[in-house]
Amino acid sequence: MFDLSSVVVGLEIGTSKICAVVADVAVDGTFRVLGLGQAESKGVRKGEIVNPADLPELLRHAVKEAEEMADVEVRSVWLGVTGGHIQETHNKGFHPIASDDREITEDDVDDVLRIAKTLNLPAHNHPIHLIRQHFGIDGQVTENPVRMYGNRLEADVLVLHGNFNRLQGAIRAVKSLNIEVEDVAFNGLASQLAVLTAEQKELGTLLLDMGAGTTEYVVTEDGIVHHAGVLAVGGDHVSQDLVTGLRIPLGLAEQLKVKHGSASLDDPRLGDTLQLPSGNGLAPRSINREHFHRIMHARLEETLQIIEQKLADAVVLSRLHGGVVLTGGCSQTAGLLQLAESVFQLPVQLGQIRCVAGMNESVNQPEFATPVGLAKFGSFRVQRQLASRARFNVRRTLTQLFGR
Amino acid sequence: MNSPSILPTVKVIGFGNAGCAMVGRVFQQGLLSGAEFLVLNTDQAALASCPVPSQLCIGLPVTRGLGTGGDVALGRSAAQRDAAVIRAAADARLIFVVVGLGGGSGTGGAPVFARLARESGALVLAIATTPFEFEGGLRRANAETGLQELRAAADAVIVLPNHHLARLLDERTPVTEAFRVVGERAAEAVTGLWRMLAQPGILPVDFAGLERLVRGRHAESAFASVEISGEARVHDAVVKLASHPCLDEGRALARADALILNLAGGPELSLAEIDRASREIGRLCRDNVEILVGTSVDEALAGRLRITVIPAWRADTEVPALPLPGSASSERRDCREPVSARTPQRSELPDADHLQTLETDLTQSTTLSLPIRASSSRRGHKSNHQPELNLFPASRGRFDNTPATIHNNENLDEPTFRRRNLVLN
Ligand SMILES: Nc1nc2c(ncn2[C@@H]2O[C@H](COP(=O)(O)OP(=O)(O)OP(=O)(O)O)[C@@H](O)[C@H]2O)c(=O)[nH]1
Ligand SMILES: Nc1ncnc2c1ncn2[C@@H]1O[C@H](COP(=O)(O)OP(=O)(O)O)[C@@H](O)[C@H]1O
Ligand SMILES: [Mg+2]
Ligand SMILES: [Mg+2]
Repeated sequence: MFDLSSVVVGLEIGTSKICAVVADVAVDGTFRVLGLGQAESKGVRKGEIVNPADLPELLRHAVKEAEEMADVEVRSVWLGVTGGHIQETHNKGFHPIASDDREITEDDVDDVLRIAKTLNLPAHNHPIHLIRQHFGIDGQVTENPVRMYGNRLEADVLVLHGNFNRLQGAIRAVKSLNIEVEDVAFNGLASQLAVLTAEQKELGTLLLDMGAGTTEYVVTEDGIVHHAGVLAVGGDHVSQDLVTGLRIPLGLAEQLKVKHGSASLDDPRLGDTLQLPSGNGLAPRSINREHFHRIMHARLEETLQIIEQKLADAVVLSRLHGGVVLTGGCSQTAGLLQLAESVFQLPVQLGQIRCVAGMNESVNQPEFATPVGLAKFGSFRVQRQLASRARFNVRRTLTQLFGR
Repeated sequence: MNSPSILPTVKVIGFGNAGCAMVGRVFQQGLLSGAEFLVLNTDQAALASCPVPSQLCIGLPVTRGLGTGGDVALGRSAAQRDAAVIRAAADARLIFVVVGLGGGSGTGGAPVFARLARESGALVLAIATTPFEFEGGLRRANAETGLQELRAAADAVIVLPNHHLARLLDERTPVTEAFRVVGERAAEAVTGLWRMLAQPGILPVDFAGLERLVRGRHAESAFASVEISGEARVHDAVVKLASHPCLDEGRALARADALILNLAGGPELSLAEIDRASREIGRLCRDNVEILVGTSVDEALAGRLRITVIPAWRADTEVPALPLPGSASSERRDCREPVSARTPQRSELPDADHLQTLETDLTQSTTLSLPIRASSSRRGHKSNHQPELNLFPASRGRFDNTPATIHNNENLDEPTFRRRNLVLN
């Protein structure tokens, strides 16, 4: 009689892969991954769709694979978005308390958040997330202002927003398959949900999702996301640098990077040469390992440094006692941990995907942090609906029993 | 339509079949009121089908009015034979010579024309296309010869390589259609330049400024124009220019000795925007670049901003494509006369009220986005002495067709090891 669990699907249209994760969530919040489907991505660069021609087919393939594994039909998804157009803005909303007794109500809170949400956004941008930082009453910081008294309510919020048309592009691609988009979420936030423990979020942690086209960063402290953003640089840049520096084709650069790549400059093998596979008309060649590492090191160090500089103005990095957590496909690069430690001067670890009850280890790969997190993001809202539906059902049952 | 005082006599000359076709198009568009048009060819039939009324069939005794069949030497001698007629035709202050390089008549004749015209005092700007790859080695070789001669003869050459266009065209595009598009782009370059000179602006690019900038430089130039709307339009436009294929992804800016920058917008175009755009674009160039800034207001552009840039550099020196602080760019071989950077100071700009009162009458507002790029010697190439025609520019690989990732005015799509000057050997 009561349907107290529900299916949620997270979908990432990544630069390197399209990935759908099917999960279910129970009324008590239990989250289980039921299935995962993938396809190699095409026409996506730096996290944004540049050529949608091949997408429908690939999306269909990824969704179908996930459907079959989970044995459910996918009707709607929680869609991830990223790209260099996504930005953060810190807003402060003000709202005078109108009631005679100056008691702050839930409506006042809604009003002040609504005001804070759209302030200062560029004309073509659309808010993706509104994250409350804290409230203030007549200048006094407070966590929950409801039922407190004051003349003026203030809200500090973090708004993540992106270019409306580009966000629409991703949504349109999914809708063209007759799959509904429940909502969009920023990939970085999703990864953070999948990877960080409650304790890390409390202590203060920087999460980096290093993908193929973009690197997303999210700073969480006291359980609240304080900063988030994207740098449109990722593993593709590493590969492309190798193409230029070693004069090899992109496919080979990608293979070499994944198989033998490293960001380390104190590797005993630096004097070695690396034999390139011959065949396909290519003459046998060898490359200098030191060049190989230097090219990768330069790119990855620069990427981390840029993010460090971006954050250094706004965050006291040394206060992040949870350190840095890396995820995304590129986080598997050998030597990256040490490199990140030296750039951020913080302990660094690789993220583990949490909360994958019901699924085998194969889901615990850094590439899947985003799609798992997207499903998790959806599960929070679905769980709330379930909970209210359950209350409603109980009330209806009671009226049915006693009302007649 | 425009105040004639701004422009001296201007002639637009088409040479060879392609030149005639391209100038015919500009003529028919009718946007260059006040300019005179003239087409020259060795091919009588081609002239007959050209809408431009002023025509000169040259070298009749040697070609019998049948063209040269790709013979550059023949095209050159045809023009030289008729030097007197050509000199008489070259009676203008500013002459645009439009030519499709690769054949015989235009390739051989346009440099002759340019030289004669310059000798009689005109400022000569050549606009030359180079052949598509599929046209083969002979035309390419012809074009290389022609370009070198043209560079030596004209004050400046704006090179529009067709192969840039090929990337943007569908594979199945018929050849005639491809040439039509080429012609359209060339026409846009001519019109764009004209517009810069002729359109009333807050800071008009005047002929004297243009002359000062290009006269005698024998410079090579590129031409790119972007049109952007929206809140962050200045920034977006600059980002687009920094990765523009016609500017070799911004390298043409980094390499420029001189830069003509034109901003056109609707009546809302603000001084702050002009200031910001010229500063941001200036930052993509090297320190001592001379910038000529012009602005114009065009009601048809309401809400949109069009930025046109023509970076010019001396073709006889090899400069590293992206000058880095302390890098080889300081060791250039030539000793150019010192030039002063000229970006507008606030005090030079008229006040905002003035903006509202400026009248405009230009209706045309096409998006100019020319897949053009001047030939250049590529970074890392051996020869330091011979300028080479780079017909196959480096592809941006994975990042083709994406906006560049710009951070602190650096294009992060460029390999880090290069920007950091890491030596790999
Ligand atoms: N825009 C445009 N370009 C053309 C056209 N036809 C040829 N071209 C280009 O112009 C180059 C020169 O060709 P033509 O203009 O036909 O040659 P020409 O100067 O008349 O010389 P000859 O005919 O060999 O005496 C070619 O290599 C093409 O790249 C055309 O109809 N329009
Ligand atoms: N072992 C590895 N070492 C280095 N890079 C890797 C490795 N495995 C995958 N990658 C890189 O990770 C990127 C893909 O990561 P992913 O998070 O799936 O990206 P996206 O979400 O942008 O599609 C690719 O650039 C790939 O080359
Ligand atoms: Mg990703
Ligand atoms: Mg001809």
